Amino acid sequence: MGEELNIVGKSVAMKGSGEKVSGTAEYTVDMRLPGMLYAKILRSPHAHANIRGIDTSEAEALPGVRAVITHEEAKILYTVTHGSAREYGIDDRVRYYGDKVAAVAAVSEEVAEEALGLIDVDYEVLPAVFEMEEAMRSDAPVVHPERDDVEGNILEKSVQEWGDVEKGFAEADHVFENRFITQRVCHSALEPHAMVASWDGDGNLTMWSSEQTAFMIRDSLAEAFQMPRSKIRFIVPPYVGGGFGGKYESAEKIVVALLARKAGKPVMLRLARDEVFHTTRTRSPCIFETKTGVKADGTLVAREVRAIVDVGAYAWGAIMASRAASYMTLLYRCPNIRYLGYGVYTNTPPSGAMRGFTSTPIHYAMESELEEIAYALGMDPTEFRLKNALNVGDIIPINGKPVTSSGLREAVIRGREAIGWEGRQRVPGSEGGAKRRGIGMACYSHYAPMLKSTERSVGNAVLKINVDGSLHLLLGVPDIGQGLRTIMAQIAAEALGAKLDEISVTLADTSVTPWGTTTAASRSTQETGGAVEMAAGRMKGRLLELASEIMDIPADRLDAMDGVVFAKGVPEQGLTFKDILSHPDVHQSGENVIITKATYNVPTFIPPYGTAFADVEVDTETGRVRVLKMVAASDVGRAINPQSVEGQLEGGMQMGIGYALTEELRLHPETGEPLNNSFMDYKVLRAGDMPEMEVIIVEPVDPNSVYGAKGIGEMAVIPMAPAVRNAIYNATGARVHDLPITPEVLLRALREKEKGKC
Amino acid sequence: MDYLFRPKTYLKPQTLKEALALLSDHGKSAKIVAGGTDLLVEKPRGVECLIDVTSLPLDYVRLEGGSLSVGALTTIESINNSEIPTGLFHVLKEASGLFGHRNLRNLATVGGNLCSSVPSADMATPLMALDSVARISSVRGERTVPLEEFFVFVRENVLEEDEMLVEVQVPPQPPRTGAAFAKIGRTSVDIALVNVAVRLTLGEDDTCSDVRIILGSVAPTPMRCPTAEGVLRGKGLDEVLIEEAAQAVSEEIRPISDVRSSAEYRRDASRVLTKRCIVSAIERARGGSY
Amino acid sequence: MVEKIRIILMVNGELREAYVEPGSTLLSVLREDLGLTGAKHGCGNGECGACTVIIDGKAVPSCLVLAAGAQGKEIETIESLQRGGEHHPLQRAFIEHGAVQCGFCTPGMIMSAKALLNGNSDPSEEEVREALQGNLCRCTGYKKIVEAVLSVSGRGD
Repeated sequence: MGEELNIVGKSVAMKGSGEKVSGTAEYTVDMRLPGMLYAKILRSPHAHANIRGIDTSEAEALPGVRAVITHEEAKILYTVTHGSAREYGIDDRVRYYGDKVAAVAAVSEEVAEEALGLIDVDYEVLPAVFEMEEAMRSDAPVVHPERDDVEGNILEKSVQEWGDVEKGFAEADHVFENRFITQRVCHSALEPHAMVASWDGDGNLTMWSSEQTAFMIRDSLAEAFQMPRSKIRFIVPPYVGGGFGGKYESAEKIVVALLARKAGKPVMLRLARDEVFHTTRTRSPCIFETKTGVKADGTLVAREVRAIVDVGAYAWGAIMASRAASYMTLLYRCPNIRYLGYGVYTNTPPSGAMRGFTSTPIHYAMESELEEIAYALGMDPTEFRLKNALNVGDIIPINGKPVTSSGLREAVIRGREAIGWEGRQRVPGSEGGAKRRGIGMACYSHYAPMLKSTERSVGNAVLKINVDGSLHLLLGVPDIGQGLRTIMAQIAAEALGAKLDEISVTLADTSVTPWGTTTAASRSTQETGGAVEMAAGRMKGRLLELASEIMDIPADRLDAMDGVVFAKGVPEQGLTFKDILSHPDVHQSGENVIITKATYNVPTFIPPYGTAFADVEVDTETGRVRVLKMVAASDVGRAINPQSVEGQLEGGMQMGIGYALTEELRLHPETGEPLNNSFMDYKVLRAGDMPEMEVIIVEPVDPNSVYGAKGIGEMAVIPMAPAVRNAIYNATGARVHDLPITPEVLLRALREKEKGKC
Repeated sequence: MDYLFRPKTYLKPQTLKEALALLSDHGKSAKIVAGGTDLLVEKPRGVECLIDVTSLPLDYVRLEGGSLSVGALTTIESINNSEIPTGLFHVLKEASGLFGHRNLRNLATVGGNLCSSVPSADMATPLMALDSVARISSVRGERTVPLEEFFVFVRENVLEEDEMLVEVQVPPQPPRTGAAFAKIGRTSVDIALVNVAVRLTLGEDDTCSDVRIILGSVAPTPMRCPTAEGVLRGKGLDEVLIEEAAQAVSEEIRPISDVRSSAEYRRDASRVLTKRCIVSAIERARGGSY
Repeated sequence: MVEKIRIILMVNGELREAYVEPGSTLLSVLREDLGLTGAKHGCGNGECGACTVIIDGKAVPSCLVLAAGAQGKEIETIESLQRGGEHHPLQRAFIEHGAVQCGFCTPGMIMSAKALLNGNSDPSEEEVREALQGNLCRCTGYKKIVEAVLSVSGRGD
């Protein structure tokens, strides 16, 4: 490394922006196919029930209805992306309020909706359980009695330990214990979920859907329908209106495919916003019981977390709880760590991946506790974090590998300067007055592609070149709006020496692009980027070989940039890619049909690091919190596109502050019915709610990843909520443990503090 | 269920007379639609006929002889941008600026907000505080109803099936009168968890000669707080008295707990907002601004 | 069975004919009948702003406008901004400032911004945020969007 980069590191305009600003970008829901029908799903008004009988005859007879299906055709097992979770297309049992009961395809949504009203269902209502701790009791209603591999409602139990926490606590000078509860929140991507299914006369299925993966869904569908994978074409359109982890896997695809087959016409399902809130995955609510032991000088000696993760009615995977352990080991040195985690079923909307995964809630718990510990010890919270932080060379317990790069120290130092940290430290809540200012911070790390050597993280890329030197890059993963298409094109252009504008990217089409995983877990930059770099490097090698013959200069003395191959040191005299490929010798031999490919196995996991700082004003009379300023300082390894990194972090602030203060999907405690499944009452932040925001990009440039980059997508949200919570603590001294910190929650906490109960 | 709202007829009368005749003919199965920001969100069942009244000449704000007449079709954004001199009926501008967001305000009308008769109606509170009167028309003639008597229950008001609200009249206010409005939501754009309007008149000796304290979202309709008003009326206004009045409000109101807020928080917020509004109203009264 | 009525709408300077139900919204008619899918359906109750269009100079959520009621008015959608392949300054600014991520909110944002600039050519940052309060964005945190709008007004960089 050390050479100057040409395109990587530049804030180039995002490909596809022209379409988006013109309103011509076609999202799934904008698709129109000839004869296309519209689907609607009948949803359960009960949180838990058996379907004893279902009569669809009247619905089928309604003019304009073309197909109706129930569990009778749709009880097909669909293995959701991560294995251990299972869901049927439509089951004869419903497990949460809103669960699928039947589906209709009709000539219009109005007719389909009317048909739903004509379906007669005989429910045998069963007792339901909504709270995760209740669900763990032996006498709780069982959500999945048919699963004999699950004990009661406990889908997973994970115990992970390093060292000996009992010994550690015994050695500690101070031990702190807390209990945190984090809430159910929703991705709220602006584009509602939508999908289209179409069969052809040869029994091939084509589906288009706004998803974060194409191949993993195609593979699941092939398995479910017992079809060869080659007969299913799954396409994620070039434009997806946001995902954040919520557009991954839903058994609705089985339903839509079956409707299309039965009706003999393409079928579109587009979810209404209220459905998006409570029938697609939410972030898992969690309970964390934390115990942390420190020496008087602030050294961490023992950390223990007991976690319960509410996976809802249908789990995303039996790894939600176990993964959370990893986040305890990535940031700080601590010789003794113990994690006990449970993944528990309840009769609530299925929960699963949402930006940061369980990292987001557990960091909230851990970083809130650590800030308070710092104050209890009389230490500056930033110094407390730095004292304990893992440094380059330290071994990460979860995989036994050393930290190869860390920008944490720089992030903390630059971040605290930017927020104006100096001089703000005092005893939390020591100031009086109706409006109080406070400042707080939080750190994070995250694991991007796969944690351990037993896990696989593989990216694929295919690169084709045209005779005029322009290129096609084929990747199996979708762009969900975060700019993957552009980032990958930048990497390709850099590695190859091509012009960015002459690289056209095709994504996520299972018939055309190579296999890809998910655009999630902030893995794309390292995993797919690594493959792109390799494939581009191979293309460059081939071009240099051909040029070498033409120019009669050894290939190792040639280089390429901006679509031109030249002798090193003589950039003015070169051959364009077009010159090379249309050269008679090359053309005649057919050697200008060049396709390169690469499969990149991420060799080692490279944790990113970062911090967030918040400056808040608390109105202690109303409990309203105004976030005045936030600073995010993130070690992204290297920013392939700095403007894009800023955009991710700024968006992460919106999501993170909402997580801290205003967002929660609330369910009726007795029926499980969603109470606020609309933007009217599910409060996401607007332009007028946002603080002043500053982003600091820290680039330690890791030696092991593509251009030293680490990724940012998920990390962008993780530190925000604890930073805000810690600022509130600093302002008021009120210790709030549960999210969201609404005005009334804060008022109550302030009152309790007055009474001295805290 | 969305598609239970499927009206069969759309009518657009060009004169008030026409509109009233249609209302009289269609009765219960017809719904007046102006901005649509309540109707197209609520999508009530059983609506057969839509009567679009936006062509009627009821979009005006007129100041005549100290009295303000607001046509029912005046949009909330018009109020927000209106040239009502600061100082006169300023509290209406204040409330309108906190209503929803601009794009909604461009559609929503004063008449629509009042006729929705939701307890949180942001224009109802300040209009009531200013002793406004609703002018109502039907084929049978015209009548006026003080706004204080207009609201009956959640989404229920005194309008008969064939009646339409055409105008709201705000009377001239005595000298040394000040008014203030406050609203609290969960974020900057929200339905009011609580809204408050206070109108206060100072006597020559700076005591409170008259006061109105109106709260929204704390009862089935926007409500007056006579007990709290009684605490202030005729007295010299110091911090202690203001706190007492605010406390009286929190005890007088009848809030419920719902997904937006607990009743307890509504009481807390009412007390705080009332106090702040009284202080603000007093300041404005001294400057003659309401 | 609901009988459709014939309406004539003036959209982007052109008279367009459509057959709609009395209760049809302008949003659904734009998208389903007139092929103008730039306005998006994000929520259906005027909260998210993805459906924002301009009617008689004012930005409004088209999901709350009756199609039949929009007759006789001048309707502008995102599709009206490009002239002969050239981007409008607002569109250019959004691209340059990195204000476009997933893009679903973008048409609505641009229309709200356009309505603002039509009436106020030099807004403050506060005024820009105020004008965009009806448009949700989950990707950008709004900062680059606000910067883009300010840059067009001449007050930004």
